[in-house]
Amino acid sequence: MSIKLTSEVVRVAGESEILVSIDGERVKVEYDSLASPRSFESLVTGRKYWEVPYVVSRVCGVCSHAHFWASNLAIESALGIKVDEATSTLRDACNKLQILQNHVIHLGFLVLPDYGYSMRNDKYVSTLLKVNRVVNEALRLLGGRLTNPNVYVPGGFTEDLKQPVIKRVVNLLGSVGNDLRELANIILSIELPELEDPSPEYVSLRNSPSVTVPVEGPYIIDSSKNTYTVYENYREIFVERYLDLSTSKKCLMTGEKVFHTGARARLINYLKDGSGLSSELRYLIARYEPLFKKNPFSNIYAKIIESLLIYENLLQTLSSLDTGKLSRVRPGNSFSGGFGVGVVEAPRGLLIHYYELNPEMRVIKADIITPTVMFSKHIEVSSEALIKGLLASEEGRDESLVKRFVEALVRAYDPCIPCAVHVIKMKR
Amino acid sequence: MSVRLAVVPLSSCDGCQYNLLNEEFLDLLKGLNVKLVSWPLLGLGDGAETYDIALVEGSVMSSRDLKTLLDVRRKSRVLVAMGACALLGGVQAWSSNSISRKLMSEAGFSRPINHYVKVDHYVRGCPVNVGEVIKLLKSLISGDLIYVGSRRFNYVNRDSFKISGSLLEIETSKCVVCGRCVEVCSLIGARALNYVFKGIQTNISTPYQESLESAGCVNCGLCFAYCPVGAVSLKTRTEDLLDKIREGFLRTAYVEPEALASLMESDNLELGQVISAIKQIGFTKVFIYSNLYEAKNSVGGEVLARSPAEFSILSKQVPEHSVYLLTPRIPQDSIYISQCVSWRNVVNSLTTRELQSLIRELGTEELDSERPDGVVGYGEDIIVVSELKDVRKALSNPEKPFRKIVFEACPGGCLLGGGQSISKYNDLTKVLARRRDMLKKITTGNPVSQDGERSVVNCLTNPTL
Repeated sequence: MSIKLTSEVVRVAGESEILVSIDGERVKVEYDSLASPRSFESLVTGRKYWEVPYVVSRVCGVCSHAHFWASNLAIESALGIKVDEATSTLRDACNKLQILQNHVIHLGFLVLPDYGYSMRNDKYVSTLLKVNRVVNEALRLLGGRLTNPNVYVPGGFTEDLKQPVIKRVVNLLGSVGNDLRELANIILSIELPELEDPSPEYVSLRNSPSVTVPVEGPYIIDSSKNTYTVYENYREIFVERYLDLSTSKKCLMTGEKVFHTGARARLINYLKDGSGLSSELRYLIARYEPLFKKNPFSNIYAKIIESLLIYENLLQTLSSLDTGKLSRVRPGNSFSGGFGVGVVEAPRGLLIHYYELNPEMRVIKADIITPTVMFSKHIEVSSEALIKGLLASEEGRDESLVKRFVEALVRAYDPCIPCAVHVIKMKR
Repeated sequence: MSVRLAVVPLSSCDGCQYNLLNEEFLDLLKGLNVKLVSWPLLGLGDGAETYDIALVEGSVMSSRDLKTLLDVRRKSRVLVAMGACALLGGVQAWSSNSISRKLMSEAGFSRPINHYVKVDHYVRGCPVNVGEVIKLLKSLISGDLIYVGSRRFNYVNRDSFKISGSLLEIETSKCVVCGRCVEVCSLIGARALNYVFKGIQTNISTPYQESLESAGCVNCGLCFAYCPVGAVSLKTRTEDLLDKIREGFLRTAYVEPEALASLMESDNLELGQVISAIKQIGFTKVFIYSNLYEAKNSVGGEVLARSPAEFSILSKQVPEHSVYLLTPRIPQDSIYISQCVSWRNVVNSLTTRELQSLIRELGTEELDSERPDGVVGYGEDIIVVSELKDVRKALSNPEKPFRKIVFEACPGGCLLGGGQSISKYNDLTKVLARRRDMLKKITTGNPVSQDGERSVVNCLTNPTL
C-alpha cells in the first residue's frame, strides 16, 4: 500500500503543512512551514541594544511577551545589568499571563473542535470567552498591550506601576477561578487517542513554571535523564541542522536526541522537586504524570493543568508583590562589548535568545531558537508512530481518518509557525 | 441577510488575529449579524466563497501570499488592510543591512498589500486596536463609509486655507504643490514657506498657518512670479491708482530701466513705445530712473539694498554690517514703477507686471515712439551681487574696503525680479539674455547701471516667468 497525504494544518498559529508518505511498512512524515522566513536575526543586526526587544517581540504575536523578556534578559546579561527581584517577578507574571492566555485560546478555539466540540456550543464558549477576556484584561493592565509589549526595557520597567493596578489584576483573576476549573473539567473529560511516545525526552528550565526568580544565567535545564548548565554553550546542547530531505531546519539535543519541550515537559520535570503546590494540583499532576510520559496527545491535559498551576501561582506572587520595590538600572557608560544569553519558558517551551554587542552597544550577532523549531522533529517522529499504529489496525485503511488523527496530533503540540520561521531558510 | 466576514493571514506574527479573538469582537459579530465564513486560525473556511468584508493581516513575502491575496481580492467586496504589516510591510520590510538584504532577496521582499491590490480601508497599528476594527466594521455595515482609518491614505478633501500677508496671498485650494515657491523662498533666505503635512496631504504653508510677514516673508514676490497656477496673488491697487491718475494726483512716472527692459522683452516693444504706452495711461511725464542713483549718498563700505526685501534679508543674514536702503527720492505726485514687489509698503509704486496688464488693456498697436523726459542713473564704481555668499565675499575683501556693494536678492538679479512682467519664453537663461540686450539698448549713452555677472538659478528648470 502506498499513500501520499498532504494537509495544510489549520487551527494552528501560522501556516504549515504536513506531508505523509506511506510505502508499505515505511512511514515518513515531514512537518514544514508554509510561511516565508522573516529573518529577525538580521533585522536586529546593527541596531542599538534598546531597539532589539521591540523588534523581536514582533517575531510572534502569540508569545510576544516571552520573546520580549528573553531578549531583555540576554541584553541585560550582555551589558552586565542586574535587575531587582520585583522587576523579575513582574516580568515573569506578564509571561505567565501570556502562557495562560495562549493555553486558553489554544485549548478552547483550536483543540476542542477536534474532539467534537463546536464553536456554536454556547455552554463552553461563554466560559471560554469569559476566561479569555479576564486574562486579556490582566495582561493589558500589566504588560501595556496584549501583544508586542512595551512596558519594560533592559534595566527595568519604564512605567511607574501602581499598587492598585496589581490589586485590580488579582481581583480580576480571582473572579475566573471557577470558570477555569470548569474549562479544566471539559478538557480533562476528553478521551485521548492511544499513542506511545517514541522519544521520551522532555526538556525544560529548572523549576519552571512556578519558580523563576532570580532569572539570570547560567540557566539550569532539566532533561529526562540529564541536567545541563546552559549559557554560551547553548549551541552545543541544542543543535540545529537539516535532516533527511526535509526543507526546514530541525533542532536536536546533543547526542542526536529528539526531544519535546512545552507544558508536558515542564510538568514532568517540575515534579522532580516541586514544592508549594496545593493538594488539588499535586493530585492532578501525580495522577496524569504517567500519561504525560506516555502519550504526546496528553500535551493538552498538561496545558490545562499548567493553566491551573499558573493561575494559583500568579495569585500568590502578585498579591505579595510590592511595586514600590521596582527600580530601574541604566547601563554604564563604559562597555567594551560582550554577549548575553536569555532563556525563558515561552508558552510552547524553551526559548533561547543570544545577542553579541559591540562597544557602541549595537548588535553584531543575534541568534534565536524557538520552541517550535525544537519540537518539530518530535512532531514528525510521533506522527510516524501514530500512523504505524493506525496502519496496524482497521482504522488505517481510511485515509481521511489518518489525516484527521495526524492533524489532531500536530494541533496538540500547538506549533507556532510565526516563531518557527523567524530565520529558517528554505532549501531551493 | 448576514454579512460574510473573512480573516486572512499572510506573512506576519499573527498578533492582530490573536487580538481579535476576544469576547468583545465575537459578541459584536453576533450583534451585527456578521457570519465568520473564513478564518484559518479557527479552522473556518473552504474554497468557493465570496466575502462581503475581508480583513487581511500580514504582508506579501512569497508567491503563496500573493496568490492568497489576489484570490481574496477577487472574492471580497471590501478589502481591509489590518495592521502594520498589511499597511506598510511590517518589521520584516526592514532591510537595514546587507545581510538582511541578501536574505530578503532570497526569501522575497516584504511588501504592503496595496502594492498588489486595491485596498478599500486601512486599520493601523502593531498590533491593531480592536476598537478601531470594530468601528470600521460598524461603519461599513451601517453604510457610513467615512472612517478615520482611511484618512491617511485616501484623498478625501484637502483642507483649503489662505495664507495672507500685507502684499501677497496664497490660496492653497489652487495650489498644485509643485514646490517652486518653497524652493525660491529658501533660496532667497526668507524661508517663510514650507511643506506641511505628509503624503498625499502635503500642502504649502507658513508654520502654523500664520501670516506671511510673521513667518519671515520679505515680500520679494518671487513666489508670485514663479507660481505656475496663480495660487499666489498680489493684492493689486491698480484701480486705486488709475483713479488717482485721473484726478490728477499722480502725474509723473519714474520707471526703472530693468522694468522697461522686461516690458520691452515680454511684449516685444521698443523703448519709445513703452514710454508712449505709459503716457497713455495718464502720466504727463516719464523718467527713466534707477534707484542705484541713491548710492551717491552712501559713504561706502556698507551693503546697499536694492529694495526693502533685500534690506530685510541683509539685516537678518549679515547683521554685523550696516545696510543702506536705496529709497527712491521722488516727488509726492509721482509713482515709482519697478521690478520689485516690496516697494509697495514704502513708496507709491507699481510693479512691471501690473503695468504690463494696464498696457495690454489699452492695446499695444498704434503706439508712437516717444522720448523719456529725463534719465536718472548712476555710473560710478559699484558692484552688483545677487547671492548672499558673494556679499560676504565682497565684504571680506581687504583690498577695497570702501566699495559700494549693491545686493539684488532675486536669482538672476533685478532683471528677473519678483514683480517683473510675464515673458512668453520658459527658459530663464534665454529670458535673462534677451532682457540684458534690452537693458543695453536703454543704457547706451545713459550709464544707469553697471551690469555685473548675475547667476541664473539652474534648479528652476521650467518656470513660468
